[in-house]
Amino acid sequence: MSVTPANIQSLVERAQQGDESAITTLYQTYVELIYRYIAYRIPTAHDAEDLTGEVFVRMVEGLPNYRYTGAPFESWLYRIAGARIADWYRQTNRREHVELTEHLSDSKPSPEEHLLENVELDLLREAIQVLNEEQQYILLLRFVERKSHAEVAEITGKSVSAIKSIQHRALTRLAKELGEESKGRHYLRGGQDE
Amino acid sequence: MNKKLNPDQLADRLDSLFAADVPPGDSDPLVDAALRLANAPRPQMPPDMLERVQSRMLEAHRQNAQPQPQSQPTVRPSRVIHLPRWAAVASFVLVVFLAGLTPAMAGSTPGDLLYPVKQALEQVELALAGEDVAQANVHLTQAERRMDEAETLLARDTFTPSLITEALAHLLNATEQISAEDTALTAHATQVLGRVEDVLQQAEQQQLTLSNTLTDLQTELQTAREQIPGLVPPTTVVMESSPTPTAVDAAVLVIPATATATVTSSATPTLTVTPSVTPTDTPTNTPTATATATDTPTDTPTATATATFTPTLTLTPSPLPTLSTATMTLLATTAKVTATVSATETVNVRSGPHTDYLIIATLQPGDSVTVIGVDDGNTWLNVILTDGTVGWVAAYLLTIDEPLISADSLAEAGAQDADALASVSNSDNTSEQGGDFGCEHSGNYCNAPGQENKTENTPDKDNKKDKTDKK
Repeated sequence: MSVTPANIQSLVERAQQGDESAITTLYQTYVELIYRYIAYRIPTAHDAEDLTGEVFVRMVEGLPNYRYTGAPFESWLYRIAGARIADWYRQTNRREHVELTEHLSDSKPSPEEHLLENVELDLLREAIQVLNEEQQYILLLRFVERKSHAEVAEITGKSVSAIKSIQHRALTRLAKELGEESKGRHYLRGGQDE
Repeated sequence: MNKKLNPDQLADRLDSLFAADVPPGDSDPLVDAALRLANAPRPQMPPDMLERVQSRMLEAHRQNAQPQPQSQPTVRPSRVIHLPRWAAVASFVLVVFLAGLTPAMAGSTPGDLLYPVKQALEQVELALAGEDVAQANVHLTQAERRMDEAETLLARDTFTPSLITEALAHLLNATEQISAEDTALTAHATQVLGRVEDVLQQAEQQQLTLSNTLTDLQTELQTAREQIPGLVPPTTVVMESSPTPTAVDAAVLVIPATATATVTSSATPTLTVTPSVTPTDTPTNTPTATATATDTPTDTPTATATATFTPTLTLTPSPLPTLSTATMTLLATTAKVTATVSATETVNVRSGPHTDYLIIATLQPGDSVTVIGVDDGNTWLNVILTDGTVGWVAAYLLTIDEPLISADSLAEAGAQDADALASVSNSDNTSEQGGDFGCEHSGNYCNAPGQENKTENTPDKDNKKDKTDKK
């Protein structure tokens, strides 16, 4: 089913009334979006499934209180995801900035992590997690989800100029991290993957 | 080429690059970083993961879902509040109820299983507040509770504007009773107003409000502020605050259609119920305490967010029996919440709040249990069966009854006023003697005091019935 902004609202309403097929459609529409966000924002890939599940459990629990205010539905899901990620970090007592050396001392990826085994993806994930939450959010919406400035503004509730400004700062930081990271990796790993 | 791009230039550059095939890299480091992010393989969910997460979500949904329609006699758009029944309960006792009965109930928020019970008790609390100052205090207390609930919701990243509206309604009611000399009350009211402002601000910061909802609520806030004697309104200009439109009664409460976590028609703001209470002495007074749910579906959330209120208290409690302190204390400890099995087939009672736990007992449709708690997920109820077994039942299989006060348990405890209370309490519906109230169908109707006469028809009732006939 092709889900357009026009019919999202009625879909949400049906889901709020308990219509399981509407709930399932909402899930199918947004789950991978949320998963990608979570997978980029936490260092441990296999927890991404768990957190994604939590987001959608909270979605069904929170639907009665959800009011369609005109903001895109995914804004709400992203907020829930952000809160779950913050909780996850608190509980696992990690800092968002995972030191490069810590990463290198990790054991080989477990079978569940194979999805994020890609070197480039790993690199980007690590680098982006150095940024603050807002910067990560903007960059992921802009470049992983390929949203326009206007779309990102709508989802986040910020102005377009704010988005551009955050984007600039965030990419500056990211570029720096990537530049340093590749230097660091080269030095510490000798260019080889474990 | 080596010139650094400013934010606008960077944005434009990116726009033009993304308009066509995205190149793998760029000489500008910022653009390059963006391109790397864009070109990297995206995290994927394999099909089995998609399935698992979907199942988990649906299971949570089903546990939250309402009871099946066929288990309810009719569709219940409104919840009847048996106010005169509750007239026997002194208001301060209710404060004890809500603080100490069950934390699950005291802390419950809109959408929670036990929230309607809390609301019903608050109705009574209000009705029993005698003099002006006491009434004002109850209103302020209830306003504070709305803000407690709003704060709990904010921590969960949700916001229900009706909580603000309700809190302000209570505040306005309170201010009706305050004169400018009442410094303590004025201070309290000002404090409550401050809390409402904070909550609203917080909701705005968390981006949980649409701008016109926010404006409406700010208008309501301004109206309330102007009502507090001695408090100078701030100079910020708000919309014309003419309290004319949908004038509703003072005790505006929002009552979900069911006692479960899922509320129907919540695409609109939650049902606004206007309780019009005129307590009488007739036992069958259910109709007079009817809360009518006005479901006004709109597409814009602003419609009911602008609900204003005429701050006139319409509750006029009938003369109440005088209750001793001992009795009032006992009421606090003997009041209980019961639930009835509304499923249409045998229900499992488990040793814990999850289907992984062992089944320790079963219940039949119509059986009654006492509710003593709820799990964190708001989907399982901790219950005591009539035989004393303690266990857990999935909430959607039960319907929570109106809270009861048992004159019998009071009598057993030697309360002096047990007889007086018995005349107004719905003591018929104690669950100690089994769940069969002689009703054909399950659900709240079985416990409605208006049907008290019907229950007398069941021959298996014990002599407890006689007590209620005394008055």
